[in-house]
Amino acid sequence: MSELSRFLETVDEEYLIGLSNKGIVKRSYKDLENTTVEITEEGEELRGICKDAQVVLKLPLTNSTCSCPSTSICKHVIMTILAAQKANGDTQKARGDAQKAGGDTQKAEMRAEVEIRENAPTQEISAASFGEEGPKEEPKEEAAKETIRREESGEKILQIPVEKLKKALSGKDWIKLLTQTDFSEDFEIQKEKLITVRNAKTNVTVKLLYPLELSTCSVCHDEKLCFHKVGAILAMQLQAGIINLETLLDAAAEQSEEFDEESVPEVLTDLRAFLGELFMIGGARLAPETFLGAERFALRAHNARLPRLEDQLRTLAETIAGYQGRQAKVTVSDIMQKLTECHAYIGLLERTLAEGKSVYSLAGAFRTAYSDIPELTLHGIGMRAFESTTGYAGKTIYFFEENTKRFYTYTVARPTIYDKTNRKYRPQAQAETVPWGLNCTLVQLSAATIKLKNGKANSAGRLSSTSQAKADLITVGGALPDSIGDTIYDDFEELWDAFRKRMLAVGEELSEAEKLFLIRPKRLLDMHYDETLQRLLFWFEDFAGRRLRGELAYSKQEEMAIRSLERLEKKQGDGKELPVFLGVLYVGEGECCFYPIETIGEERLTEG
Amino acid sequence: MKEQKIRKELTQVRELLADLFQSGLTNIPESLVARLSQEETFVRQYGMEWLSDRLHELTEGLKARRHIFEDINADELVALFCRIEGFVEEGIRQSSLDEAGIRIGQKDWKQEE
Repeated sequence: MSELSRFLETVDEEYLIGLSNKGIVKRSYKDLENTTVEITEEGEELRGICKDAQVVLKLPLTNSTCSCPSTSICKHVIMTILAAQKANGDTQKARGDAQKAGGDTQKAEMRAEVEIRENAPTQEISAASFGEEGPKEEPKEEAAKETIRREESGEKILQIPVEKLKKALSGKDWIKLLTQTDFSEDFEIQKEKLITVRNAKTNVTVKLLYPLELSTCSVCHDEKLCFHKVGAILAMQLQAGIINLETLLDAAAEQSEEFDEESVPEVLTDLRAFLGELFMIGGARLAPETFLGAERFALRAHNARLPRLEDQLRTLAETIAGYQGRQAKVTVSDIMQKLTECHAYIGLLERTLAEGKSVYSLAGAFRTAYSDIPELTLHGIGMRAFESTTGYAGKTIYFFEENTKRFYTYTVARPTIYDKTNRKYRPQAQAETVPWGLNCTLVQLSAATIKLKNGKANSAGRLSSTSQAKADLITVGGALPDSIGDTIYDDFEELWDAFRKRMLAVGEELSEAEKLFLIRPKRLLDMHYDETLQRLLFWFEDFAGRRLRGELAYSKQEEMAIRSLERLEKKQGDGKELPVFLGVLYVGEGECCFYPIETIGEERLTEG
Repeated sequence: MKEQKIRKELTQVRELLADLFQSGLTNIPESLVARLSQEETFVRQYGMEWLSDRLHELTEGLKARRHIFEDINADELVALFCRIEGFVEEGIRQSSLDEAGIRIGQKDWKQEE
C-alpha cells in the first residue's frame, strides 16, 4: 500500500472540512450517491476520473490537482479522496474476509483435529503441527505501524522550536495567543488516527500531522501555519511539559526594549482619579475641555507604551467631543460605555501589577501592525463611500482573494475638517490616489482583478498602501473566479453558523472584513422608507423562509444604493432573480441584520 | 421569547445607568434611587441575582452619600457602577446573539412585539 493510501485511511470528515470547507464536503457526499469515481494507483499518486473532471491525488493533499477551473481544493478532489477511501476499505475488507474465511477453515480443522486427538494420546497441539502458520497478522501489523507513524509525527511536532512558531505569527498575534488563551482549560487533545486538537472555547479543530503542510484547520483552510495551528502545537508542547508559558511571556516582555513598566503605576493612578471625577460629576456637567483631558491622558498612555489604553482614551475623547458638539449619533450612553471600558481595563492592569506580573502582555500593540503577506490574486467586488463621526471621509474597496477565499479591504480616507474652512483645498484629487503603482481609477480598481506582490495587511484584512507593494492589473470588469461560489450563502441558517464560528474563533469584536459575507436571497420583502427614522427598511428572505433584516440610513452616499434596492424589489415581481449581495452581517436588537454594500453582477447597487 | 425579555430588561437597566451617569454619582435624585430599587426587584425575578445584589449595593451606597458633606465611598461607588455596567453590556450582547440565533432558525417568521 502506498504512503498516500495509508495516509488516506487516517483522513476523516473534519480533516476534509479543514482542507476545503463544509459546503464542498457535503456536496461531495451528495454527488457520490449518484455518480462513481474511477480510481487508479500510479506509484505515489492516485488518479480519479469523475464525470466532468480528472483528479490527481498526491501528498500533501493540498498539492492535489484537478482539471476543473477551480484553483483550490474542489469537490472533485474530495470525491476522489472519499472514493479512494471506500476502495481501500473494500480491498481491506476483501482481504479480511479471505483471511477470516481462511482462519475459519483452519479453526474448523483444528476443532476436528482436537476431536480426533481427544481419543489419542495427549500431545501438544499448536498451529505449527498443522504444517502451516496461523492466519496472517497483516491488519495488526498495519495498525501497529500506523501507531508508530502517528507517535513519530507527534514527537516531531513536540520538537518544533518555539521560535519557528513565533515567526509564523505577527508580534501582535503572538502576544494575543499567549495572553488570551487558557492553555490549561481550553484544549482537548486526542490521539487517534490523527492528532486532533480542539479548542473547546472557540470550537476550532486542528488536525496535526508532521510535516505540518499535512495539518488542517477548520477555520483557516490553509496549509500554512496559522494562528490556530500554532495554538494547537503550543498546547501539545505545554501539556508535555516541554515549554513553560510564564517563560514565554517573560521572554516576550524582555524582548520589547521600548516597554518601560516603571511609569505605568503613576499613569494608572492619575487616570483612575480623572475617570472617577467624570463619573461623580456626571455627563450633564462635563466641562467643554473634558475631551482635552482625555487626549492628554492618551498621550501619557502612548509615552508609557500602553497602546490599547491609548486607543481607548482617544476613542473616549472623540466620543465626548462628539456628544458636546451635539452630534446626533453620539449619546451619553456611549460616553458611559467608553468610560466603563477604560475603568475596567485600568483595573485589570493594576491587579496584574499588584500580583507582581508584567503588564506587557496586556498592553497591546501600536496601530501600525501590518505584516507581510504572500502574493494575492484579488478580485474587486465593490466600493462604498463613507463619512465617519470622527471627521474623516473616503472610500473602501472590497476584494475577494481567489485562493484563500478571504475578503480584504482597502481604504482611502481624508480629513473633512478643512472642507468647510478652506475653499482652495481640493480633497477629491487627494482622495482618489490609487495604490500599488496601478494605472487606473478607484472605480475601475473596485471591479478589477489584480495580482498584489510584496503587500502588507493587518490581521483585520486591511491592505496597506505601502510603496513596497506592487500590483499587476489583469482585467477590469472580468468574470469572478468559481471559488467565490463556495462562499455564497443561500441558506441563512448556515450563514449564521459561519458567523458564530468566526466570532468564537476570533474571540473579540470582529473587524469589518471578518463580518463580510455573500448571500443569495430568494426575495426582498416589506421594503419601505421610514420618514421618521430616515431609513430604508426591508427583509432578505432565503428559500426556507428565514429572514435577515436589512436597513440603510439615508445619506448622500447611500442615496444611490437605496434607489437601486427599491428598483430590485420591483423587478423581482417580474420574475427576475435577485443578484448576490455583498454585505456586513451583524446583530441588532436580537435580530440578524445584513447591511448590503454591493451586488455582484451586471447591475451594481452603487451605480443607481 | 425568554432571550428577548432578558435583553429588553437589561436594556432598561442600561438606560437607568445612563440616567445615573448623566446626573452624576455625587447627588442622585430620589426618583432615580426609586427606579434603582424597582429594577433590583425586576432583575431578581428574571433570575439575575448577582445583578440584583449589585444594584442593591449601589442603591445603598448612593443613599449613604445623601445629606452629608464628606466625599465618602466615591472610588468604591465608581468601581461598582463600572462592574454593573460591564455586566449589563455583556448580558445584552449575549442575549441579543441568542435571540438572533433562535429567530434565524424559525422558518415560520413571526416578529414579536
